[in-house]
Amino acid sequence: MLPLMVPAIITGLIWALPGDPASLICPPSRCSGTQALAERWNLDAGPFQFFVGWLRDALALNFGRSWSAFQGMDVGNLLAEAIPVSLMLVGLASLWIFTGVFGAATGWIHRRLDPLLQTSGMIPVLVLALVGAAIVDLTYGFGSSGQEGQMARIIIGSAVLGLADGAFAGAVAGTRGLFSSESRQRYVGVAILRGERELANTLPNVTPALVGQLRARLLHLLSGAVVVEVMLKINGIGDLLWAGTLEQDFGLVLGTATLFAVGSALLLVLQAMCEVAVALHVRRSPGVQAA
Amino acid sequence: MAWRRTILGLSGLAMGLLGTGATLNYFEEALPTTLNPLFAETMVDSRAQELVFDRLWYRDAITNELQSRVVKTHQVAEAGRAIKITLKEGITWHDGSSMTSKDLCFTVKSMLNRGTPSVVAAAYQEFVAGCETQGPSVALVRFRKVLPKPRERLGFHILPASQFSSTAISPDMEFSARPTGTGAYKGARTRREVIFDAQSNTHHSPSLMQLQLREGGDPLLQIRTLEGGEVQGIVVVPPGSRADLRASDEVTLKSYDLRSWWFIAVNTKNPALQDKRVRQALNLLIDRTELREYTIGVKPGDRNSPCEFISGPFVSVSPYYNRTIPTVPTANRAKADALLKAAGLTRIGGRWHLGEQPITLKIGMLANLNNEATDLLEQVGNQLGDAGFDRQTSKVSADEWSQEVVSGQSDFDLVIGKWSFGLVEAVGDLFHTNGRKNIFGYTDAGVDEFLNAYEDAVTDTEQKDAYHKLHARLADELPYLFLWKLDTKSAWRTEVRGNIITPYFYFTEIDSWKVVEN
Amino acid sequence: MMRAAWRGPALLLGFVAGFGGCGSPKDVAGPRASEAVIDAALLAKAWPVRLSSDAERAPFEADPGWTHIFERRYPLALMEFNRSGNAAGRARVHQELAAVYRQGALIAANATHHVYGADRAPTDPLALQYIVGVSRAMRGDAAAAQVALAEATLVPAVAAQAAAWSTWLEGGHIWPPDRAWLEARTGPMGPVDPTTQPLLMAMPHHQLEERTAQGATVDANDPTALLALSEWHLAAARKAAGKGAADLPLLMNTWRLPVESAVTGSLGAGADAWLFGRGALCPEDLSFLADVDASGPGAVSAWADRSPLAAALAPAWDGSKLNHEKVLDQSVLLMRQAQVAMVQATGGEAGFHRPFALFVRLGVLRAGMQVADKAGQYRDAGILRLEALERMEGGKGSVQRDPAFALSVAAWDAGNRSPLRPEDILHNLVTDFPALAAARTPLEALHLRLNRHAAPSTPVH
Repeated sequence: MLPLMVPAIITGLIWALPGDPASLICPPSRCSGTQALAERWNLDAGPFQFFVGWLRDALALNFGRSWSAFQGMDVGNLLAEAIPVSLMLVGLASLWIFTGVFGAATGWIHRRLDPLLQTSGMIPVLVLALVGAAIVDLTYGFGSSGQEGQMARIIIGSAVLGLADGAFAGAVAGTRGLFSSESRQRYVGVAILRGERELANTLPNVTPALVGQLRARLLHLLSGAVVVEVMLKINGIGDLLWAGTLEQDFGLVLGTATLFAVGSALLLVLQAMCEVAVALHVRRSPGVQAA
Repeated sequence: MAWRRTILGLSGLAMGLLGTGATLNYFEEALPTTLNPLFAETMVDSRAQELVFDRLWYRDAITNELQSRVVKTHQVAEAGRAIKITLKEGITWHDGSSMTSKDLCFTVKSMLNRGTPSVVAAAYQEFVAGCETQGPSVALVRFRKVLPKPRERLGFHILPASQFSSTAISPDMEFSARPTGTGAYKGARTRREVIFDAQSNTHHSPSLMQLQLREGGDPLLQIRTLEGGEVQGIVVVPPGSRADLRASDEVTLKSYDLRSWWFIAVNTKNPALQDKRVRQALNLLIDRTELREYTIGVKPGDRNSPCEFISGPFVSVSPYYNRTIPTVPTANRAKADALLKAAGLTRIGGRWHLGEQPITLKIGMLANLNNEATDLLEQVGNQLGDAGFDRQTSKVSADEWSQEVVSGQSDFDLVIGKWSFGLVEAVGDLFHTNGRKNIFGYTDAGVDEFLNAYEDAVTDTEQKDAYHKLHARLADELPYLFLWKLDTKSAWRTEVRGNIITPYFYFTEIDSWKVVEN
Repeated sequence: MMRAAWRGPALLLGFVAGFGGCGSPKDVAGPRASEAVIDAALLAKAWPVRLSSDAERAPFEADPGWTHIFERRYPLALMEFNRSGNAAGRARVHQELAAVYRQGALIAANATHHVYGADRAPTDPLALQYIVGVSRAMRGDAAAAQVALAEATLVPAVAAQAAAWSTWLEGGHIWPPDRAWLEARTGPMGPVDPTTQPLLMAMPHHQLEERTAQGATVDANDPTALLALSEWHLAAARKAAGKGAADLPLLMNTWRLPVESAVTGSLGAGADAWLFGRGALCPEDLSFLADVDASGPGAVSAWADRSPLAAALAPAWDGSKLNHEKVLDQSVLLMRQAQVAMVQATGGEAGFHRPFALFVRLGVLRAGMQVADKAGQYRDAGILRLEALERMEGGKGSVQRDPAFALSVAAWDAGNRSPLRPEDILHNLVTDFPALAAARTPLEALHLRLNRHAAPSTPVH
């Protein structure tokens, strides 16, 4: 429902704003073809027609053109170029999360480091992103917007995203908390006495909660990615969304916001599939033989 | 540093190849909002479009001779109400198709089409009546009245008919980002830059294979990057950096003839600012000498200052400037306070109030002006704050400026901006009640009268007189607080040769530009 | 345990560490070695190199008037020279002022020719034809001048003046008219006294009415006044220079009006007072430049063994065409050679080396401009002209803009019907030289007229 609700809400907002949408883009005081533009952009017959038209085109992967932010550029192409960038950014950032989870679960990241991690996690993403942006600009100069510069921005951005606002620290602490509370269960003690490994026993039971935590953290990364992309000038979806919002480029905002909604929905589906898989695994696990 | 090498090493994985020919990288004030010449809103737009398109006629940057790269012959026809133009043969569009008279007439018709929402076109609608083709290379352009020098009036860029389905051209078409022209370069806008690739043609032979335009950003970074050689030029050099660049052997400062003046537009629809005495008071509260010193670095008494105060909507060297109207170089708090009290404002607790309400001024500034006048927004805010006005300040991006501020849709009370002009300093659109760039919808019968008088003037002296009266009126009414004119300089590394800069249009002579290692 | 504790972060860091650096910002080039563009002995004649010696420079440093000359503050220079009793300095000031006003007259003439001559409108006041006549006479077109003056004699306000000019032109006199004759047209300027400045006519000289229903007022100024001013200053220069007055025609050769004949010759002894702060680097350079005017660009080859500027231009001259890009290069290279020579002469770098050396560069550019003009390379000459104007800019380590040269560029622009740059130049100079306001009037009129016919444009941000 999310991928349908989000563009519908945005469409409603467009019509809720004072003034008609076409004249927001092309004010009559400086634009003599406002009516013609309204017809071109399907804005002349009300929100429902506009939404239906947009949805029909979107299903055919036609998101129209940017109205103002990147005037003339195809929104689909902009999204197609931005998706891999954002995926790489969030993907690399999520490696920090997964590393934190793995390190906490296996004990590779020792408890003694927790205070340090918590402290470093207090740095807001905005601050780290600004520092990162300064580093790239000073290092690359003119080339900071080129391919090499963009890659540097993505790498730094992923580190910022993965570390700031307690992302990494939270992954470590959250995982450790889950495992330590599960470890206190009686069956774990019994399993250890039997010579079994603690992780092998606790993991199936904490997995659903872990997946839930991961989903939340990934969503947190997704939302943080908007800030990081804007601050570090990374050509991802978040930056597109920001530019479109600032300049009331509804064509762009609809496409990018819908994409975010789709991403979030996919994560929900993934979480559900993981939970099902864990449940099946638990159901199929051999029963404990009576002594 | 180890971290720097690390980053460099990693990002070297994704290194792209540049063209094998000479590439010119340069910083601009901002990215162009559009590459379609019909919708040019900023000087950046105009400069970028000059690379991609040919104007029907243009002036040589050195000799000022009127020339054309696309017109073979011309003939005034119909007793001065038309001009018959024969185009040169062999000129092709960037997509390989031939330029014909159909393209010329298409351009004219699209400018005349009311469905093309273009302020540029609207100016041509006033005197161009139509166009008809008379063969593949011949077109007859008709005028609404007799024009004694038609060639001088026809300075528009030619567009390709084949790229459009109708003469109603919309700003959101792909053409705005990836245009097809007959100019020396084919341009393509991406999110962070514009790439111009050289196109060989019968009438252009550019030496540079590629130009890359990027937004300049921080001035110090721009200068360092220029001095380091990673970029070859900066189109607009901040005044504070000019002295050092002038002394450099690796960089040349070049004049860019542009008539620009800075202003603070006042929202006369705000109840607190409706009374002109309040605006006059604000004018007296702004200490221009201090602003200039702190933000541009020009001290009082500096010789040959690039920044000169103005009292009206023209630069001081202009014949339209009324030299009897004095500027207000320094603040006069006592006089300002008297005006504010006379306008009915009261001072409570050190803050000015309109009735019971304290006055808070929302002040915006076109963001890239900060590169030329550092912290100007904050300084203006401080001056008004010291004078007893609460304020909120914010910078406005170029796109937001075009979309909201210029179109009168912003909620600012004061906006700091800059207007640029070429030879023609027509200000009607800025101040007329029906002006297309009337920022806050200012209206005044006297101003309209003088602007109409300018348009209806029979002689150029009458035009000048009308504008002199306009200047006097605006200096009294103050819909704008007029700040100063600031000369524009560019900086180019000495490897860049033959870089003749055309007044206003900049890159008209790009064919002669080349990069030669010293 | 510690190893295990750090393993996680270490892995993480290892992910991003370990790649070798590749690529780094381009190294900034160090100072370039200077190649000898011209023979060292020739360069040694140039005043910037000679005056790098403390002894040679001492007389100029001792008198603040020369500092003001260097900074182009002529009224202040005159004041200082009056105080010190430096007659050569006074002569120099008046010669420079004569050049300034002569170029001012040319700006007015060129602008007037276009706006009220070539672009004449039927609504223009008929009296303006008097000014058109004078302008055309200054531009060297006596026949066209007479046509305009004949029309002007029909207007009572200017009839007498027009008739006087017409009679003078018919008399076949050598330019310029006698100073007394000029003052009879413009009003008295006071006795010629090298310690003072002349009286100025109140402006505008004429206020005329357009031939329309509205009858708007047109301000007009007579370029005769600027020529008269120039002649007054020239007379003052002669008085101050004494025996050195024989040098004045050669010095003014560059600044002559198009109608005036070229002059050749050479400077007498004690030329440093004339040369200091000038683009011509030695007496031979002045003679070379005069020869270019008189006999054509071939003078480059003839003078290459005697004149540093000719020697610098020689590689750019192939006998028929000047390579302007080579001239640009030569100007930089010779400047650097001069800097090296100065360092060798003084045993180290000094603050005045760069501004002095800039005059070498400017000299080459301006000489190249003159040669290109004479070779019929109008555009190339324009490129060199504008480059020279750009290079002389006040500020750190630079030289002040030479007002006479800047005004000559303005006159050239006005001749090309281009008003924007000349308006800027005049505006910057009119405070120091108020009489130049006379040239501003026709220039602004030209701007207004061009504006009416120009392509429409809208303000942009």
